[in-house]
Amino acid sequence: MVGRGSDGDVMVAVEDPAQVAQLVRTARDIAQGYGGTVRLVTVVVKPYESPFGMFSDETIVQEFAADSHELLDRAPDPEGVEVVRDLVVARSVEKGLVSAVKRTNPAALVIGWDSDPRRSDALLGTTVDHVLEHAPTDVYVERIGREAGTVESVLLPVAGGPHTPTARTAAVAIARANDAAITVLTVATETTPETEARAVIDQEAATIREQQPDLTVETQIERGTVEDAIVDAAGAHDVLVLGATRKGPLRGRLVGSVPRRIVDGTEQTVIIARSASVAGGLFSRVAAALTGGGR
Amino acid sequence: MTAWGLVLLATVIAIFTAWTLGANSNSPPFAPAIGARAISTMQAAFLIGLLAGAGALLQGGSISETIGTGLFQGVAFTPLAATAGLLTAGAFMAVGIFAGYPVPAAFATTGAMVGVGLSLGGTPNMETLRGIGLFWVLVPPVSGGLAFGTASLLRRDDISDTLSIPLLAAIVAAVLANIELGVIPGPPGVAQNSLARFVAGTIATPVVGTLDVGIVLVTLLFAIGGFVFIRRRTQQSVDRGVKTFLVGLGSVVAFSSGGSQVGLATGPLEYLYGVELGLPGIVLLAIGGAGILAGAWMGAPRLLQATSREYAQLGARRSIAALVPGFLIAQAAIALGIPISFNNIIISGVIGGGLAAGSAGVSRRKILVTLSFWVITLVTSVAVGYGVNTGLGLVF
Repeated sequence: MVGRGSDGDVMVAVEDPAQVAQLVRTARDIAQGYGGTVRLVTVVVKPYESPFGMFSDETIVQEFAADSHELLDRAPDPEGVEVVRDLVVARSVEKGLVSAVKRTNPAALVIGWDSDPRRSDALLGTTVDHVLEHAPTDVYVERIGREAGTVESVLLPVAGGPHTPTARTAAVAIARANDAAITVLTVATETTPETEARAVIDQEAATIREQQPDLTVETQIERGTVEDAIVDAAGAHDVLVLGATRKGPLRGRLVGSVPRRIVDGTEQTVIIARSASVAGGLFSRVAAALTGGGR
Repeated sequence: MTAWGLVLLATVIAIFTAWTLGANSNSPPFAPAIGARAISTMQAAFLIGLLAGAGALLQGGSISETIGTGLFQGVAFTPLAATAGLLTAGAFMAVGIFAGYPVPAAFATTGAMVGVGLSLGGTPNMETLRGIGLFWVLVPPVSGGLAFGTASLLRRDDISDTLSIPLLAAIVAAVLANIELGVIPGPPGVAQNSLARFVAGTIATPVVGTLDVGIVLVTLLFAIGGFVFIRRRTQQSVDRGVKTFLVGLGSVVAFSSGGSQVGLATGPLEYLYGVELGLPGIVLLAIGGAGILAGAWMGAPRLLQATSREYAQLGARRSIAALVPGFLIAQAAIALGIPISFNNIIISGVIGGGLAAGSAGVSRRKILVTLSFWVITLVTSVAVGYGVNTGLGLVF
């Protein structure tokens, strides 16, 4: 599979000082899982209308990026992994992140999602959507909840989709780094009978135990609507890792309505996982669908 | 849809366009002053709104008339045509903002109006269009050159700051004495007058050759006044003098930017308001000026916060160098009635000021990309304006 970093580096977007510490923690956990380094990336945004947009990237980084330098320098050093810090000049945050991913080819990218609409300077939905659409790597969008100081329990809702392995990777890495338990949850609905649901979580739990024999893995089946069931179950856990559900290769928004509603209905830290296999614009996704292969 | 409905629609689009211009084009002049901590962001945003709105009201007429009635002969810009022009220009600006491409409003509006005029079967005023084209081509080198000269002057060690900065203030003040404003009463048949000409006219000074001695005297008085004022400030403290000059320069540039930008929103409505409705020009400019004021108050703080740090890193001297051409070129464009992209002047000024400090470190690729977008905007806006107006004509 193309898109895996050569040595499992994890890139983390450093944009909002309030989110940095937590995002770096998540990136470190995942990087340790891969045995790679953490790359902190801050995008120096110079839109076309900026009078400073005509300078070369080197000049901008040297002379007109003091804020970004400060932001990047203030980001904490995660313990136990090697750290690289990098400034990228681009016309927008999302373009900078996607080009940085293409250039350094990390195993995963971690970005923050401030779902508070009152904050206009933070990463917004448009940025997240663009990155999910175009970044050719596994992407983790983290909604910072109440500071998950100690993580004792990770909830991994699964329904068997392309994003499940990606979500599993992060859930396992976070659980391992924090000595936490994992609960694999699925929801039995009218379309998914209980036997089928049982098979899905048993298989998922078995996969995790195979990867990490030391982890405590529990399984849970809920009934009712998917969103409500997951929101109800979330209270007992510290971190939720969700797959970015999406209907078919032609739907524009990569984060489906289910994760969005779960994010709105919970206070926990929520991580939405998007597999590298669905990256690329509409054109490449159509091409992939036609040729019947992944990327 | 009745004609009145169209008039209303066109007016709403024009206000929206003015709002967009106020939010985006009129903010830069105060960013250097904020970067130098001479004024707070909110104070600056408040001032920008008032100054750009006042500039629109007092100086916006000439460019507005060029766009509205000066590009073609023998064409009646009906409400439908005005709507077509505004819709086209607005669509280009919206694409620019949302897709993040450089789309100068002056190019989009002028192009759209040329397209609409052609589709109405008008005869283009080639002389006017040639003048506009020449001015546009000259803006980058002239703005860059002026900024380069200014920055070089300010960088010289053998000329102290207590002389060089007051000299610049003298030049700015001398130009101010001669800018034409709608509020200054002139002789019969003259709509706008400059302070210098007004004073000269009331004292009836002699004329030597083609020069009115009175105008020269008033200009000199202004220059001396500007020089003395800033010289005293710089002698007390260079830093304070620079800050004062940055605020003053920002103010006149903000005023000029309003006067040079409002016509891009109101121009397409000129024929409608002036000829068909028979309203005085000030009505339309007031509508545009209000839009600019609202846009500046709402949009400027965010933009100023984003750019003031960069100007702080550029330094006060290079910031001054970037603003001086902004003032001079905008006033020249207003005097000649030529629509301009204010941002293009500032960009060229920043680059020119950078060159004075050695290599500017510009990216040839980025400049080429931006230039291409400017040209594409111009060419496609003509085509789209033509198409939209023809299409609307078939429907209504």
